Amino acid sequence: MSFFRHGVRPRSGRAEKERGASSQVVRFENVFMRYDGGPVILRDVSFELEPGSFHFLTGGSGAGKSTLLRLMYLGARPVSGNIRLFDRDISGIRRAERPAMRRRVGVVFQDFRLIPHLSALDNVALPLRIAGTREALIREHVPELLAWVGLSGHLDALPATLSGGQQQRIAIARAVIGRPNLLLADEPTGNVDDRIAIRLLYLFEELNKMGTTVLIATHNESLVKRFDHPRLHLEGARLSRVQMPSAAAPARPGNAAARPA
Amino acid sequence: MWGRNDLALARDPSTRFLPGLLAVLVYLAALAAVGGLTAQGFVSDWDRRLAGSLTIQIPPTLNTGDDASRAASAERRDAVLRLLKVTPGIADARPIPEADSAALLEPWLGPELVRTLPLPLLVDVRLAQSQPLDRESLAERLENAAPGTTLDDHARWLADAQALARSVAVTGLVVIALVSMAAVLAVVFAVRTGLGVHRNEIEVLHLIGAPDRFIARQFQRHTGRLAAVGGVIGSILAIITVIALRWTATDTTAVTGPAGFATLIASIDFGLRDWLAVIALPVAATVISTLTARASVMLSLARLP
Repeated sequence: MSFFRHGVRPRSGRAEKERGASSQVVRFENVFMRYDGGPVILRDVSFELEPGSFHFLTGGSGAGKSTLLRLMYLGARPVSGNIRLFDRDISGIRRAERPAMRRRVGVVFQDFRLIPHLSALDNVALPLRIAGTREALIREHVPELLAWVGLSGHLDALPATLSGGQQQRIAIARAVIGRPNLLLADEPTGNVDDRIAIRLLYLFEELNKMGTTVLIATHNESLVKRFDHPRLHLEGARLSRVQMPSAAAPARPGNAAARPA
Repeated sequence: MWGRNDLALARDPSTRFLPGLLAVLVYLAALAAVGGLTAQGFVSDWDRRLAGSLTIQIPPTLNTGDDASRAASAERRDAVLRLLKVTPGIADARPIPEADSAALLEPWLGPELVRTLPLPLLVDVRLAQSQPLDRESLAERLENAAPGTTLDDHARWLADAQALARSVAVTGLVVIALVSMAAVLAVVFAVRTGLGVHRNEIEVLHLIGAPDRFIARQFQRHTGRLAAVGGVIGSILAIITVIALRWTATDTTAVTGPAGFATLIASIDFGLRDWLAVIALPVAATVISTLTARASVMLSLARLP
């Protein structure tokens, strides 16, 4: 997976320093969340994501998984409580600082959010173009990644001409191409069969091995069972840590053991 | 042509009218500029030609018919010419032949009347560059030499012409200012519509870390291109119009002889300044549209939460 190894994303020294010194990538303290007039979605939620960790986020439909992710990619603000992202209180982040912050977070949206009039290649290339990556590198890495997710024959296809599963893989490629510090994925395997789902999970694990903190919201129980990662569970607007049966073993590098042959 | 970095964000029906509209606006601005520059050109031309000259008018003696009065007239003329010769500050004095004066008046009075009417004698005076002329003392001495003689330095006529030309030039500037305002409003409208149409895409771009200037760049590039296309078309149409006007006017002059307005238009000299104006206008339209699009996007996006 050379599209990761080459380190396409230009990293600032400051970001490295912050990361090196940081204790947590994400830290929630007593977070309450509800949308205007709606029911309480998150009640007194506190948790941390350590750098380089890999978590699943489970919970029934409507349990608030997407909202929890949204708070992390600065798509919404909590009603109360404290959220720190890369060791910065997000309430203190000015609008002008948000783009740089968001570029460190890769997001796979549940509804993909692809740009409809851009080809698969151009959609995936967006984060790199925003970061000002050289076009030659883009032409090299983006097709490689798209080939890896099984879309080598669809580089110039518009999203609308592709199936839901194919669009989802474009969305995933777009989220990981910039090698973000934090990857948030909302039901990233909702539209693909198990064989492709497992392949996509390997992609996230590969990214995780290079230091990216990963959080995957899913209700695919078989997938959660198959990969041995700690799990955060949302129910009744509260978040709990679920210990895996194999929790006695170190969470990483136990990953390899969890892989099917 | 559009380049890989073009997200086609700005390319939607809301911008389709921009090239046509900007072509019209640049066309109007170009004609206003050429008109203003031409008016100014006339004035400075007249100014240059008349600044170094005076016209002295010796009134006719009443009976032109008989020899005595003709002799008296000649005597008055000679007295004036002698006086002018010794006056410091005058380079040359040349009486205008009677036939020339008559030809000037003929279009207004008709050939019959001109032949019978007593016409004043005119003397065309060139002033010396080196020495100033004392106009008041000259006028006084002329009055003594030939009573009724007047001295015209064209100041009043020139002042009127200048005032007229200035108002033409100011009108041109006002037209250009209004046209610029219309261009700005059109671009703002197109950009706002585009932002509305692409609300979702822009939200996605923001969420994946695009700064406002990245989004603004998409709009400003596209708008700039449309403005350049429209501007060039407008300029070309303006050049064609001016050339056609001159051609028509020259044609008219050839048929009817020199007459007023047609002569003025025929004498429009499409010079370097006019070319510069006509080339500068599409450039200005492009720059104004680009900056307006950028400012418009940045301001609109800054208002988002």
